[in-house]
Amino acid sequence: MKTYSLSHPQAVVNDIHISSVDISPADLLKEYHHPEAGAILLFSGEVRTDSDKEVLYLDYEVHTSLAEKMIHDILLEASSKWNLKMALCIHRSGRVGISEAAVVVITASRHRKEAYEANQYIINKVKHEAPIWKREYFADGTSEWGHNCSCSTS
Amino acid sequence: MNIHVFAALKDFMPSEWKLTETSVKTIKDLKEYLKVTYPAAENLLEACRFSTDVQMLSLDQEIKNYENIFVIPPSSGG
Repeated sequence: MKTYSLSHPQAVVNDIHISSVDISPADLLKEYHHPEAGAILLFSGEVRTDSDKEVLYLDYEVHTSLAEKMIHDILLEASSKWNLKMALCIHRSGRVGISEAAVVVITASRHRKEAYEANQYIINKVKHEAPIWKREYFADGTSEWGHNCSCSTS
Repeated sequence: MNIHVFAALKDFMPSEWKLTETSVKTIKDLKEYLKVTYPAAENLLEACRFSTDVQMLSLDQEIKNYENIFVIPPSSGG
């Protein structure tokens, strides 16, 4: 998970975007700094329960080879568009418990405006386009595919 | 050729199977074949994309050059 390369002339983009093990946002934030970045922004998408139906955990299924490429391309596109110094995205596969990170996006830029805009752009694109699907497991023993997905099963 | 499906599609068909139907030449043909073979999944299939290991495929692309085709339901990551 901690391999970095200079994938864009100006931005450091992480290489591995799908993780089957826990993501530590705090550890990532500790590692990601850039001498030319005055703004480092971290978004952590975490598993939450629901007031109507208690969620125990999520299980993420991923088309890994395609997701790796698509997320990398999204990071490169955002880096170019907002002149980022660094961009990182890691998404979990497998089982993720309540309050655990399912996805982390870090953006770094000279000023905060670019980091905020790029971060939101990246997470929106990853959520809607990357081939990743969540299945919600509930306390009542039922489960269903996530709501972004136009699925009809339970 | 191997067909791989994900998420809710697995409730309608096996997660991986071999395509033996010789009349299927393009991705569009494959989509129609799947809709006829698994009519209960028609609405979901209508919203699906198709890919190789590392790239999306358009409906008019021929499938003969690919060893694996993946059927991609609408994403629900994050």
